[in-house]
Amino acid sequence: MLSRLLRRRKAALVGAVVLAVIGLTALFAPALVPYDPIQVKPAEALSPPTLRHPFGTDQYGRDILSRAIMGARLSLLTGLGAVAVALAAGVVLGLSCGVIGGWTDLLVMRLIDIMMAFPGTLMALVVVAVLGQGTVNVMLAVGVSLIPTFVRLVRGDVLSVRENVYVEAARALGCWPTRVAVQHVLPNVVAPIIVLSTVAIAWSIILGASLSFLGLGPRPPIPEWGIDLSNGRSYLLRAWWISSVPGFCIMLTVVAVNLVGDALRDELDPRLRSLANL
Amino acid sequence: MSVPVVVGVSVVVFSIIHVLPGDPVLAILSGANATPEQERELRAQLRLDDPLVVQYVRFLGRAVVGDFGRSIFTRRPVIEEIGDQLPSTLELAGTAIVIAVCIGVALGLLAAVRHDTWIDRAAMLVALGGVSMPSFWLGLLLILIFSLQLGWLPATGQGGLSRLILPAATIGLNYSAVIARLVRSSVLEVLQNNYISTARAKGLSEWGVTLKHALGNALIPVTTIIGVQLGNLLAGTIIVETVFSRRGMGRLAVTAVLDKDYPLIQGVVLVSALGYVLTNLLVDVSYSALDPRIRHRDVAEA
Amino acid sequence: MRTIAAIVLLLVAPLAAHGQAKPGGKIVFAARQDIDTLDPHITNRAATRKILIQFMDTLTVINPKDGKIGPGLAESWEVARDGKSYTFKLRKNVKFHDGTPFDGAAVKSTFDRIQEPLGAPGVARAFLGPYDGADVVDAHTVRIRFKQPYAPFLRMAALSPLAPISPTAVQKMGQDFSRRPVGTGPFMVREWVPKSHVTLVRNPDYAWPPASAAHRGPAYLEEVTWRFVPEATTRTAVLQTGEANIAEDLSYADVAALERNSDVRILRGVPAGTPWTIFPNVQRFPTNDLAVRRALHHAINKDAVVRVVFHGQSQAAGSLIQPPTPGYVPVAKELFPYDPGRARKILDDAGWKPGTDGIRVKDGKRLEILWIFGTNNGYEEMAPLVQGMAREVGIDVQLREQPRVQMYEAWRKGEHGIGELNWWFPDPSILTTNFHTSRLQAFNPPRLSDPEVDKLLDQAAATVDEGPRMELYRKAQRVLLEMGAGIPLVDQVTVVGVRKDVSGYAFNVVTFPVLYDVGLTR
Repeated sequence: MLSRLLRRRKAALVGAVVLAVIGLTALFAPALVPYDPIQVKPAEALSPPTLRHPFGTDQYGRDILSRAIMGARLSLLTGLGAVAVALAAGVVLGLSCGVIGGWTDLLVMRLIDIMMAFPGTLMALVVVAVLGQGTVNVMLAVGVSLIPTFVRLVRGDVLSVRENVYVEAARALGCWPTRVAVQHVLPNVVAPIIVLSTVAIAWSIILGASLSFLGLGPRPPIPEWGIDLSNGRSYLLRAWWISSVPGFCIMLTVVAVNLVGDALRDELDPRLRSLANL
Repeated sequence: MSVPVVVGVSVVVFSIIHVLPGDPVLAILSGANATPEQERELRAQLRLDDPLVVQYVRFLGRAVVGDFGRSIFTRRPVIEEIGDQLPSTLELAGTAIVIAVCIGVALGLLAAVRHDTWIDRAAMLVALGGVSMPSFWLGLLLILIFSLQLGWLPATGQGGLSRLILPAATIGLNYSAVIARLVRSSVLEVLQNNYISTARAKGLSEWGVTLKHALGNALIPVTTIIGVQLGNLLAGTIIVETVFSRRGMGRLAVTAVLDKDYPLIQGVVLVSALGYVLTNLLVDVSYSALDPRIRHRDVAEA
Repeated sequence: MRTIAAIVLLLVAPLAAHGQAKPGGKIVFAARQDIDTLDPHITNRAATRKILIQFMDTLTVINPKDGKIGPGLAESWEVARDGKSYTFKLRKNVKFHDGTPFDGAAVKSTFDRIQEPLGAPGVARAFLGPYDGADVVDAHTVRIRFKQPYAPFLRMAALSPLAPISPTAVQKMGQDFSRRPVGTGPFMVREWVPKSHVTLVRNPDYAWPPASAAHRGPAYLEEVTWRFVPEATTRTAVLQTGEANIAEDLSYADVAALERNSDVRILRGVPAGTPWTIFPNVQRFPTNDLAVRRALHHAINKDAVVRVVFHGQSQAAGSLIQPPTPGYVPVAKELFPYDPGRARKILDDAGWKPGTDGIRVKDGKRLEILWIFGTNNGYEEMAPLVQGMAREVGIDVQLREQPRVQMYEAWRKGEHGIGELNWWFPDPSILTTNFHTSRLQAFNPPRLSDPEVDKLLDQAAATVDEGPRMELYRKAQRVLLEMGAGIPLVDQVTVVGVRKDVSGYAFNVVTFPVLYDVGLTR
């Protein structure tokens, strides 16, 4: 049993290290880039990987390594931002449902049922069409499509925590529902929320890339993995490195996030295996 | 439980036309050197001036009989447009589910039975790889490998299994990870349970035990997942249909949104939402068939 | 780089050099864009027009070799001196696909249909100009009347949206006409499966090809599957595997590799029309400043755009219209050579001083221009490059991608700093569409309303005599370029790949495919 956990942790360790590297890269990106990731240099276009440009250059002569480093910022930000939107809405709505119950619960859950009926990508597509293109809007679009999952998770957990004696006691003592929620219930549902968030970050990055493919991503010339992958796709035959590098970055991040998320789940709450449905 | 959802969905779909930016009448006339009279005429025909409630009731009355109006761009009834595209997407989604289940069950089972070996970790990594590649990239790579380099399968179009395999595999690979993990953990759970030990004591072979009991245990969560994921599966077709030049609801949805073809957007969204509600109803019903003990289990909690 | 002459030569001969076509056979044509409808009077897309010309015949036909207007379904015509009416003598013994005989009444009902209030929001009405009505003089003579002189009409009559359609089919089919329209052309529409393909079959009775065609009688091919393949990489793949016999609009990046493939031939054609062009909004800050517009033009290295985006397959644009368009004069090269130094000086002189981040500032306002570009409009690769070049001289071009419908709406409201547009069109009167005051409600991306320009364009439209008419358009090109109303970037070049066993592939004057002479040699 112990050895299993340790070995589990080994995968998680790898994931965590990779994530840390990506995170630090994003944080210090401006200091790390060897070239200006935005400046076009037609004379250096489509250079294959060389010592000068370890990952080659794209059709505009921009250094792909520099764009990959800089792109980490926006890609992670999109993922985090989307999850933040879903998290905020999920916690507020889920807590209210679980703690207040009654009509609030019924109403919100019906709304969530309705939201569930619209496929995530389709919803994101319509949201971007409503709000227009751009990083923040993509974040919102992806975030909105994640809300139902978060609300359901939080509500479900609140309901099970509520059965606990100490919450009952607090309610019996006449505490306000908000206080019950924040002081007693929330701390107990943090673990599953963290686990869901990790998986949701991965999902957001992928969905963001798909929106770029449909022409609804962030605005050029901002480096972002999804949009770079999408831009490079017509060069797959001529210059594979343009799309492969951002594509590999996305894969690496998503795999790492999942490894960490898995370990967290096993550690924090083994009952949560149904979360794999994200 | 499904009825209020359907009503809610219809309200949302109806309001799309009033939420989206831009004036539908101007959108229809874009590109033409339209005169103000023509604009007025069209406005009167669409009757956008009626109170919203009146417009909603009219919308609902028509939707019930399958009348979503005509597409702004093609001038054809929306229901016909959808009827043209839906079978192709159902075919694609169905095949994708089969592929996802096959790969997912195989990987999950392998990982569980060889639990804690390198095979376990490799299987899970493969599953994870499938879900972590944006589907348009995966699809293009599959075309370049299996169509252009190896020449095994055609890259585009409809008709026959050979044209279905690559696009369905693209979606299937994306969803097999979820199933693989579910199968793995379900099977592991069963393997650690007592009744397996009992069965083992009775002298059944290890594989026989695993298959019979463990897969039975995995059946319900996998069924749930297929229902919950159906929406995402449909959304996956949006990307894959473009890459593989297949017709279908996904491409219809993208065109509708990009062209701001409001009646078409409404029709597509409504039909996908209804599809979701219907599938989950079926999943609900299938629970009792799969396992009578959990007839009353709430899907929402699963 | 290839010269125009070489490209035009390629355009000229129906490319039949590779073996003799045998009647029969089926081909797959991989097209880039999906279509909106098959109704010639509703469509707004070039993608649809490309299919229309396979199953419809036009009254006149423009010979791509010399640009001359020749007979099509009209055998001959007379133009009134005032340019307000055209009398066509129609070809006899021509039948629509449904058996309806082709006559003057069919021409009249076609044109009347284009004018029906809600019947035609498409380009057809724009092409028909100030149409007033038609008189059927006798069964095979029809007179078309216009409210104002309309000199471009003979070339407009060569465009498929104005091709005669069967009046009986229109009556019988109603709205379904947009799915299986009925013309007189060498192919007939068997079915259109939306988002997938259009199937065309040979018209066995066809006996009226234009003089420019390479053979007589029915088309060689039995059947054409016109498949929509939006992804460029997928189109290249299906051409290489043989899944498609012809693939259009190949990615310029793939062309070099395809040329080394012995199973494939690459064909190029320069269409008449307008080049890839961006239009600064002359009414909105900061592009309302002439200095900004002129500086931007000097700042753009068009040869670099050709090299990077077009991989040397085209050439820097010389004017606001394409070389094969009558009246073309390459004034842009002399007026606006690539010269970032001059661009900087123009901006300095106009009071735009470099700010801390390199972007220029005047009266506390940054030199920011918003380019709203359309999704899948073909400019997405050029935009970042132009953006980078503008930055070099201190102009911040901001890019916003929007679905095309929303882009047109932004134009109407004048919210854009730069708009982009290019046409496939045989006549220089396209300048009216892009720059005339009357088109502020549709197109006219620079939001131009200039009395001198309007007068020049109106005068040209009213001048029946081609010589003086072209002189007016030549003047218009210079005036428009000098006032910075448009910045032409690169000439359009159509790149098509055909498999070795395909013979007889030809471009028409706007480089749409002509499949009538196409055959399979195996």
